[in-house]
Amino acid sequence: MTARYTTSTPKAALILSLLAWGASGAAAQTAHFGVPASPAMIAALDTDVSPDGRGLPAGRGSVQEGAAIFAERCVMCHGEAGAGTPGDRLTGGIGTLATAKPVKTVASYWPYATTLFGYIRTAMPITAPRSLEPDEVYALCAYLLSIDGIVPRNAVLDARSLPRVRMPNRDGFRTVWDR
Amino acid sequence: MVDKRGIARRQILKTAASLASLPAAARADDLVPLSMLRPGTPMRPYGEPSGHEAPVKRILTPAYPEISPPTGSSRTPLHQLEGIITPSGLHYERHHNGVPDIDPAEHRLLLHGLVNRPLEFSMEALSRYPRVSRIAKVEVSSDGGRNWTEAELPGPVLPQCLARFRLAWNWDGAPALLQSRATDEDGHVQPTRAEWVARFAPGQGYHYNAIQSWQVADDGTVYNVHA
Repeated sequence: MTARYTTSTPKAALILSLLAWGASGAAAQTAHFGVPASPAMIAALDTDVSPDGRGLPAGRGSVQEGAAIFAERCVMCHGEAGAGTPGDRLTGGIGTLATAKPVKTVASYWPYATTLFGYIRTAMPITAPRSLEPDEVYALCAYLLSIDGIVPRNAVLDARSLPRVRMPNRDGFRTVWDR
Repeated sequence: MVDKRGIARRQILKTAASLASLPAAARADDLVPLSMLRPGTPMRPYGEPSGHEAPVKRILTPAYPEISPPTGSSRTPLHQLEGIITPSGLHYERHHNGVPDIDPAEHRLLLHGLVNRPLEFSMEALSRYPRVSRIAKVEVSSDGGRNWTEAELPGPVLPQCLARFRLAWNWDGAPALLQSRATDEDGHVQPTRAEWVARFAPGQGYHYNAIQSWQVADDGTVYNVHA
């Protein structure tokens, strides 16, 4: 993402003729026409989950509970044990990313388990988003992560344990802001 | 541009003329397109493409046709377009579970998180804000942001647009770092990169608007850099 320009007259007076883009940063005093947001509305809509687990709700779910929910709500799209088709493959493929045929799944590719919770909670099942309770979402995370042995078969996940799950590709990403 | 009736008549006239070997005086209206001889269709309250454009359609590529028909993309038929303007109904679209049906009368914008007061806005409230935001000032620093010199804005400076700025600067031939920061008419100043990263970067990289930096190399090459 490095743009490169070359001047035709090095070591001469350089005229900056460049473009500035809109500013925003320090807050200025502007009239507010909004009304105070109710805590209930914020709670209903503020459902994003950060990589470190911020935003995870109360609740818990086990691998066993997750297997039952998966069979009822998910398997028709994601296949047995999340192996895919007609929906996306969710499991397997660990260790394939650097090969000629990388298999990108939640298990092989995603760096954080917390993102799995956030995604299921807001986007799945695709025909009824936001219809699963936090306990059910924790259970689905536990079941899906257990298939590849990322969590043990007797795992119970909640807001404390889910952020501690170490995903196989945790170190496979680099943030652009480190440069 | 000639309808079937016109072609047929002209062919008959031509045949008759050659048979008779006489110059045929074709009636003017036989040579005029039918569309010029009768009123057009009524006015419409909202524009639609001509019926003759019916084959020019987006190409629909559902990603999961069996389980989620509204997920996928609708692609611009570039091979059917003339010129550079894409009709609004033919723009490329990417759909994640369909087009939401949002009633503006019911819609609310929730502002919360890194704010002093969480607020809720109706569309009516949002429409009361001024819709003009333009660059009021651009400053340039050549010493890493310690001192700033105001640049000239030769114009035009338009709302919500990029603005050209200009500053004479004497280069001594050594590698240098130049930075620019803009201030808008409400006094908002572009943050430094470090300020922006600390406040907005964790977990995302959207809406980057920190001050711009250019590295001038000793051979005169200028790079857009992060600094």
